[in-house]
Amino acid sequence: MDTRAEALAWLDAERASPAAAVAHMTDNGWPGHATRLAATLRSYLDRGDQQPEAITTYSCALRAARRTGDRAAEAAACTIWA
Amino acid sequence: MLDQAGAGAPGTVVISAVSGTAGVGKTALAVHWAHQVVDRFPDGQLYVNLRGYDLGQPMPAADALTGFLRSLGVPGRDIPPEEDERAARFRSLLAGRRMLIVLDNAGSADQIRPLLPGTPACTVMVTSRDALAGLVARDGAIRLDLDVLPLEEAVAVLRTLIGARVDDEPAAAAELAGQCCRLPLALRVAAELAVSRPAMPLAVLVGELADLRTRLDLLDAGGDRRTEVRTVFSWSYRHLDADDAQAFRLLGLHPGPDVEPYAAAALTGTTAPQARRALDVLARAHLLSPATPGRYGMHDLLRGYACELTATLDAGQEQHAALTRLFDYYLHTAAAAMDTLFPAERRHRPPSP
Repeated sequence: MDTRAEALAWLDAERASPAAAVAHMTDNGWPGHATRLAATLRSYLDRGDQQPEAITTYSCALRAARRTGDRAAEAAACTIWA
Repeated sequence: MLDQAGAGAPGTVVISAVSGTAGVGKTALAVHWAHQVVDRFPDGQLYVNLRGYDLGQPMPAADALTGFLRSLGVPGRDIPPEEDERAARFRSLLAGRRMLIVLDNAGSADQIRPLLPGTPACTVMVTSRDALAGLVARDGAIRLDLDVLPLEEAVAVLRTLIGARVDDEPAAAAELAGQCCRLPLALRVAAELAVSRPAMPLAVLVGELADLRTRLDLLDAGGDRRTEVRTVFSWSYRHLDADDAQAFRLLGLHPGPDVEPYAAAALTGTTAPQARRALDVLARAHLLSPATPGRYGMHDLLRGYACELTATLDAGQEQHAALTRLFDYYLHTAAAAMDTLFPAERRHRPPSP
């Protein structure tokens, strides 16, 4: 993942997958992974063009954060709605 | 019937519903037909796999609408958050266009109703395992029920895939077609095994399959088409070496619609070249199907079979470890991509696993 083009290509190719992965992680026993993946992708998801995927990802991350009692992750996931 | 599509009564959207059992070739028919009629729809075609029968989540209509709106040129920031707003936007964008919309693997009429255009110039083709009675009754869909192949056609498929041996042993070929329930998916898997053992008479293969069937019957008293098709799958599965067999089982756990070699390597605990080789072997055996270049999908009948195998043969701990590796890979790769794109934020990101 050396160039910006490669990095963007991976994220765009996987655009729907991280959202699906975050949902799967949340509901099947990896809530910590769900909140970390959502936080990792934040600046990419917040660029505006990813709005539909961002909504799915953050609503799952919020659920995951509440499940694990991770208040910082909960707060981070909430700011999207602000 | 398919040729009636696109020439329906004025003022109504023509909906064609292809229904039939798993592995019978609904998607192949829809895709083939869509290629044939490309000229009739000058504004193009939209395709979505709704994954209605997937063991994971069926695709929500809202997500399918997102994909369609993007395909129609709507930037992500302009895609409305609610399903009904997206559906309204979709319908207004389709007004005046002649498009073909393929809704593949629909689970129910409710899943597809928000995806129906209001424009009579558009044609919708739905494939589903369900008879979609509601869609026929309420939305006037024309239904084509796809049955398994007639025996002669099933044998013809084997002839195309295997070659002259089919004509040398017509009785064995007919029996093999029957053992595959005349389902295209199973016929392809069985034919590949025959091709991989060119010196073996088909009658021997048929005998092997019959023996296996008897043994599996002792375990599963179902005795229906499901058991027959399972027998063909397990026949193919038993010819894999231990690593490829494990790769097949664990790939059934992958939550997404398709997988590339790096994710497969993470899931199976191997290197990317090893995973690429395993994906190739499985695709050649028709246990996986190539999706876009470099990515492979698994038919949900096969995914169901893989999941049963992994539930029986791999300890719960191993399955959990495999998915943890996959999710670690996602986190790690996402973090690497983000570090390249947004290096200044690196220290604010959660640490990689």
